Amino acid sequence: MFAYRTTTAQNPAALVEDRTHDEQAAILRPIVRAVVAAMLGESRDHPDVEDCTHEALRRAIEGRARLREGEPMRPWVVGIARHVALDARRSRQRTRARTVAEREDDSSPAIERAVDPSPGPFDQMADAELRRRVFLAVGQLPEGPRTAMTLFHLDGLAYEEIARRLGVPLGTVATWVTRGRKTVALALREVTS
Amino acid sequence: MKKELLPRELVWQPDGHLFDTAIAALADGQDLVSPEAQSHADMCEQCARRIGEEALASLAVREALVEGQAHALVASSRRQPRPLPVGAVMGALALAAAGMAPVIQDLPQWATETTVLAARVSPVLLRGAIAALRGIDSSQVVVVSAASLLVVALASFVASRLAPSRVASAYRSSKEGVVQ
Repeated sequence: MFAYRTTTAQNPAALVEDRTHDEQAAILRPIVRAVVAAMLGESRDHPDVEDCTHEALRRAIEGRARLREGEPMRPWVVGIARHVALDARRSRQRTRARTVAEREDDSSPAIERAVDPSPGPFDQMADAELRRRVFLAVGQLPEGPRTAMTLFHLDGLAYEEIARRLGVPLGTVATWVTRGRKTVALALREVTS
Repeated sequence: MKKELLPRELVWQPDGHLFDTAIAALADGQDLVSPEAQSHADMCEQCARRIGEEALASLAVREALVEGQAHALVASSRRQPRPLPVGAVMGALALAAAGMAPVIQDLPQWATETTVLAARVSPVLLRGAIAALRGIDSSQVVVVSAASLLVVALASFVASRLAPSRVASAYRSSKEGVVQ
């Protein structure tokens, strides 16, 4: 059985420092696989998902030295998984575009048919704008969810520690974090629609 | 000591899948659900997909908050100009005055000589400038314009190189400073 839980929550030391590479990979594999599957829109046992999971874990373990001191391990690994899955998605798009071009027997030069794998300036601007809106949306949340999300995402506290600090039940913190993220997602959806 | 877990009503939906709160806790790596719920998350494709999506959402929110905080830090540092170092300025002026003390007695003579010199030199300089301006042809104007343009472009480049590094350093320090 694999488990989504970790002994670390946001504390990387407990996760990585005292464990072998195999143990680290075993702990991180479920969440990495879930992220990749969500990104690719495939089931977890799809070969591409398995390949990307393996690649993401390899990069995470090999590049662990690049993790800054105090930076939480989990979001960093999820970020790598997202990056790897995004590359796989772009690769799929390229393959699809090539297939279509070959089918249409396009006589235009190959350079014109090539798909640029990197995000363009408009994508980068859109990402920056999205992050700005997320930040604003979090700022407009009621005090409880806003504080819980800030303590979790910025201060790196676990749910239990947040509950202790704010003097509220654990379930309330979990609900605040969940609802906070939902509200932010909803606000963004309204903006983009 | 027994570990505190999320209450059952925040973990299970009536349809047998995991509730959003449990999904968020699992996606955030919080060990707050029962082994039974863990097993369900391992087996259920639908819940696993939701966990993946929630982990991505969590990451996106974290990145936005870290970046937004860095921008807020930079903006606030720009809004609050540094106070004028009055003490240092006064000290420097006092030091300069002390350094000038030996020549103060010669000041009237120096002023007279300088005035006479300026009166003699100014017409010569003026005539030279007028002659130089008359001698400039169109190609020289082009060269002067190009040189000015180059100076402006270099200044812009230097400014653009400096500005992002300040943002980046604030971003880095905010990440290192606040994220545990």
